[in-house]
Amino acid sequence: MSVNQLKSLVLSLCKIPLFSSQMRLQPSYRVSRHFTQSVRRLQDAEGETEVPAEVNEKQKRFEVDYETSIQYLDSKAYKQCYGDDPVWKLYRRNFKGQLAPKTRKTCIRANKISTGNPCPVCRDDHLLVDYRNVKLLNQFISPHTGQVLDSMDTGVCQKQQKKLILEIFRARDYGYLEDSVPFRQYNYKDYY
Amino acid sequence: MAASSRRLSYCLLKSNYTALLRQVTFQKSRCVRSLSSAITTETGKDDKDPFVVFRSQEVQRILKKITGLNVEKVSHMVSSTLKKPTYKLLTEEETQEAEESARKAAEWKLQMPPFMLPRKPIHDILSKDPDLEGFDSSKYVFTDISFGVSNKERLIVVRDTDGTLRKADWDERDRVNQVYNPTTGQVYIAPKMFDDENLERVLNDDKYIYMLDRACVQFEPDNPDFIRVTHKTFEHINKNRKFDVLRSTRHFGPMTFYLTWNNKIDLLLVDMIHRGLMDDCIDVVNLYVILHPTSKTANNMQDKQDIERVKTYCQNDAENKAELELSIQAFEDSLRGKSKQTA
Ligand SMILES: [Zn+2]
Repeated sequence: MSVNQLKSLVLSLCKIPLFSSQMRLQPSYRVSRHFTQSVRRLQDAEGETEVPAEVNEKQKRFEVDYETSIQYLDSKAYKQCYGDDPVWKLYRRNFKGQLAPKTRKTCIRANKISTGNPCPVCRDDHLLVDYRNVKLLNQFISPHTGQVLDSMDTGVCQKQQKKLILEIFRARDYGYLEDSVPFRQYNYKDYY
Repeated sequence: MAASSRRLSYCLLKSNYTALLRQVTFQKSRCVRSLSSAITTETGKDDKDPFVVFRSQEVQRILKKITGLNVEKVSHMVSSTLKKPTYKLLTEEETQEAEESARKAAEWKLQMPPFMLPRKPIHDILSKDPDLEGFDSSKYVFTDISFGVSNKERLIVVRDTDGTLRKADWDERDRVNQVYNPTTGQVYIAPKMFDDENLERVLNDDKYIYMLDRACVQFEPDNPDFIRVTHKTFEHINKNRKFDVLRSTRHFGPMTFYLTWNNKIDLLLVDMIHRGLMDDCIDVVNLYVILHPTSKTANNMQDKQDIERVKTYCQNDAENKAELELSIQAFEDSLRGKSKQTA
């Protein structure tokens, strides 16, 4: 019964516009948003004069709540965009030379994306690092060691990495994520 | 009370700065978990100590037997630091020896957590010195940290701000012991997953083993919080009939004991019959007779053998009589069918 309910929920989510604007449902647009935006800005600058205010409006970053983000990770749009891979799988960093430096401090300054190649968490504004968002957090935990993956492996910026570590700790505290528990041996004689 | 105890914990913080800092800053407001959360679950008969019965040889034998041993389940993958695998060439005998040692290690991991009554609160006032009232704005904790003293016997006393010198209560004892003699896996402030509002959610996700394992590490077995958490988990399992999750873990014995102690074994028996574990079923009924020697079942149990014993229980003390009877019948029918086929 619960499975059926879930199915119908997911189906209904796919039918109705889930997110605030229909445009956001197109994954290709979302990930390459920063390119298209800059292109559009160029085009706009050529023609119109009243545009700047509108551009500012559009540049404002969409802020998700955790419930929407959890729904998004189950949605069709997410599946189309990332498939079954973790969100950082296809991300590549830009750097000079052979050795990658530490990841950047932050991708978002003054509520705007301030870089050409934002990190895998910052580039998709529907991903929210939250202790209840288990599916996202699980992508940043090594299945073998149970530790949080290094930002050098995932390419996540320092700000999001700190947030990830904190939220994973919190998720384990609340029981959303399982942690390895050491074995406790009892000495029965202590309790006689 | 809350404010002064928080100050107490800050005093402690000075002594073990690094270990505590992270946790205290993380959830400052939860520094104090009062013991008033107390025991809400009934422990059956309060006049009898279940631990005395629990640790007796016959009960331990039965509980161990019905737990079963599935080496693969016991030594399941535990996430830890990565190690290189080692490869060995072994003869037939050596393989058997290795398997035997693996089985022993697994058996050791099945040691059952004690099933106990909640501990009695400590109210021991050693001396009252009104002269000292207002000597400081925080309490002072004095701890005997000499080598070789166990956590249970360690002397810990508290000087309150009103000048009374008293023995530390259990909550303070637990925290101070964790400061001076930390156990791995235990955290200074109990994880929020043990709070009532989160407990239900975690259990609904079927994380029974995780919940129980973590409770074992975090609490002493006679801590009221441990008793609350484990009993709620057992109730949840009984309600949803997920007994098989705990089979071949260290918690199956205490769960069976809890259910038997509180006369709730009907669903467990039905589950066992469905899985074809009639021997276990008879053992549980035997356990019931040991724990409730004055019950109707125990009185009618003389010279009954095997499946008759289960039937006796079904007629006398079962609450879900109809369901249990049906499953016993189905089991017998299937037995008959098998004997016909072989004949
Ligand atoms: Zn970023």
